Amino acid sequence: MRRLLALALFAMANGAHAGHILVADLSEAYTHSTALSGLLDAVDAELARIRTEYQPEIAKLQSQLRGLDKTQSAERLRIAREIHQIESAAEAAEVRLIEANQRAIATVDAAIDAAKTAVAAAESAHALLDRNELLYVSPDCGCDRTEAVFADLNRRLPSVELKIDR
Amino acid sequence: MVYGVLLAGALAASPARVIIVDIEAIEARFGLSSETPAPIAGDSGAQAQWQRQSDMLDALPQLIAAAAEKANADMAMRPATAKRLGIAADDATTAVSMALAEQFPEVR
Repeated sequence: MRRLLALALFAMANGAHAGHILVADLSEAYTHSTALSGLLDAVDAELARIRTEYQPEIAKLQSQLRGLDKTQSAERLRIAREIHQIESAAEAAEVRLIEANQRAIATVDAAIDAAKTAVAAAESAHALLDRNELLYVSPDCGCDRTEAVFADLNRRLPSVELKIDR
Repeated sequence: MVYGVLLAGALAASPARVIIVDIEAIEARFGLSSETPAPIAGDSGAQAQWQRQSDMLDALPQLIAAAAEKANADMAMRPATAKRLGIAADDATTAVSMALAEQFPEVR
């Protein structure tokens, strides 16, 4: 009888593990992930740097252009071309920033996946789902591991570098 | 002692009770789409229809929650998610669909 009870409890424990599903709300990753919030700051700083590098020169040339009369067409054309070149350079810098940002986000995404896998494995859970994959989660399910996932993520990847191709 | 440990494990890692709701099928049945643009001002008929669609979409999460609570479920997911996870779950699509039709009898 004791052996049967032990077997039944063992089966319950193992059967339960197979269906144990955890959930993490990753929608506010930009505030909870130190890497992502740092990345956001780095992107803002780089955008400000691009503006500082290119805008004053463009403004200066536009002012010169306004000062010319219609008879100075060659000079007007030269300045317009120069403005266009600087604007193209600024756009190219922004494209490089976007690409660097995408690479950094891919690094964070991979770390989030690893954190989810680690948290699920630590509890022998069947799966750890993103909250937005679900239509409803009971507030009483005891399955929310958002804090554990972000804690693991921040240990695993405290920061991420914004590597811009120069 | 051993039984205690096993019982604790069984209770701590209790399996999630899951229902599935085919939200896309419900949206198709009632002609709902969250991407429908708001109609041009002035067309009161189209405006009313758009508002009703919007109200129905807004009501869906509460109706799914009610269906899950009634089924004593921990979570509700799409059939595709359950299939991916290899989970067998009760299908509450009809119940949610009926609750929506009940709440909005004019579109039945």
